[in-house]
Amino acid sequence: MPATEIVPTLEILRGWRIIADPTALDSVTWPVTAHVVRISPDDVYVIGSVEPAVPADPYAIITPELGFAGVGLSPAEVAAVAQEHIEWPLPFMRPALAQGQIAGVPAKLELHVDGSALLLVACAARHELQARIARTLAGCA
Amino acid sequence: MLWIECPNCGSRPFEEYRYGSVFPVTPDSITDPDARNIDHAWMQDNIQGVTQERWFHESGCRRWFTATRDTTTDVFLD
Repeated sequence: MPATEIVPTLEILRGWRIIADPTALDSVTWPVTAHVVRISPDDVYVIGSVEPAVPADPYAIITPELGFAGVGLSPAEVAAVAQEHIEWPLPFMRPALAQGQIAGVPAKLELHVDGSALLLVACAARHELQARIARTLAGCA
Repeated sequence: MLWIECPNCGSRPFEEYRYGSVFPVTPDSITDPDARNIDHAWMQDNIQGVTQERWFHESGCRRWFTATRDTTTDVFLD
């Protein structure tokens, strides 16, 4: 079986993108089903189908976001990807969001407390990233 | 390799960034609005030494920030 058939695949995610005042974003109560990724102080990516709201900022920009693809990685897969494809140090604290080039492709790695992670990449680059890390992930299968 | 500290993401290799420009500073002695615009847009100082620059973390948080760099040593000071 080819390695690409047994490794996790980056799937397009349905979500929302919010640009708003940082303090307003801090005060938001997110939908229970939403998965929130804080890209920067004023920029949030919310994975989920329920449209979020930012009551404290009437000028918040909230738009549907279909531009990201993601895949969950096990602790072993995170370690393998970090060792082979990430040249910058991962943060020690968990949870954390690490952003930068992974295998030469701009990507985000949301690191969870249990060692697993959510790998996010722009949809336009998902096939490229998938191809570059496939052999690494296959080694963890 | 040159590493640059992003305020949001931390230290990353310079390949992840895009250089914007020297942070434009228009002298107070120029008071005419049109002249200030021209100075802001076109009159680059090309400083040899410590200068403030705009950088864009293209592969990370995709945010602009201002960094201080010594152009003679290529060392980022903050």
